[in-house]
Amino acid sequence: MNARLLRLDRRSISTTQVLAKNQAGKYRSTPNRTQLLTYEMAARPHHIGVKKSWLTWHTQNLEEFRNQQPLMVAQDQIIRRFMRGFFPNNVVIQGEEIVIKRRGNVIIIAGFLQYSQRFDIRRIYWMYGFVEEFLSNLLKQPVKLEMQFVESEADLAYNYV
Amino acid sequence: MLRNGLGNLLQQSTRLLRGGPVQTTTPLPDKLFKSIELEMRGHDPAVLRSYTTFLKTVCGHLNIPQGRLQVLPYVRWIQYALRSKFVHKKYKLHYETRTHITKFEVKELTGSTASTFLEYIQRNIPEGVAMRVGYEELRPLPNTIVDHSKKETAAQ
Repeated sequence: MNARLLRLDRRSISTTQVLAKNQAGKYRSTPNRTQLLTYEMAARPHHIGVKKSWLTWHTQNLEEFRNQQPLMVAQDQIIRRFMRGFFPNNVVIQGEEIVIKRRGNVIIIAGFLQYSQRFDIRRIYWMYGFVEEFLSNLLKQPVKLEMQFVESEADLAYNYV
Repeated sequence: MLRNGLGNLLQQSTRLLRGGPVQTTTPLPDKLFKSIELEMRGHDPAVLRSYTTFLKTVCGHLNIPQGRLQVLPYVRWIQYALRSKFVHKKYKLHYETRTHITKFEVKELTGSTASTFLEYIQRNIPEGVAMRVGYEELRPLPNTIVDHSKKETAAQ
């Protein structure tokens, strides 16, 4: 359960011998088909690189370019936890639809947020600016947000299972 | 990340300017490159393919002669996990990381063209793609050898 929260078992290579990898990234079907699946969730982990792409993009996992792998992992976790904590009502499906890109020194956080409860534009803009400033100061790198707002989670549904 | 290993002419000229009284210095001659090889590495082959089309169009627009394009087989890094919680070493889950490599060569450039070209390309590199630059530079022979050969011809 802890590993699922950290999302470490979904994207990175684990150095421990056994994690719940048979079950990670897979969603069980429900009797009434109530489980909403986005495209990301619907594709199984063995489809990564085929139907599915990564949620973080950086060069530190490439052969002969690996200098700062743990730094990237730590930064990703900080960003994801911060987004989930700062936008508790706005995040879609527990913060899974967030993509982190790194171009040079700049970190770009892209993804989906929902505005189901209230749609106060000024508040959202303020939060945007706060997140960018806060994360830039915390991570010591320019951080940009490129989020897309969606009315509710149902707009992102690929199928129901 | 914009590591241009070709030597910055601007840096050299500022070093000259910093030293005391104003001197009339001769500008350094531009470097000449026989070829510059770019090696791109990434996890997604489609991303690398689109980046190579971008490079080809840039070379076409800027009239830079293209060399060869090599798509090398990917390099695998494998680490397994055991499928079961206890015992059953025979059954594992196979995890691997693939690094796709593409080499792109560009021929016959001057130093200033090369630095502009590389600057433009590196500013537009997609996320998750790493680049390494290697070059073959043409240089005149060192003075010691030139003087020595001159002396030899004079002696003959």
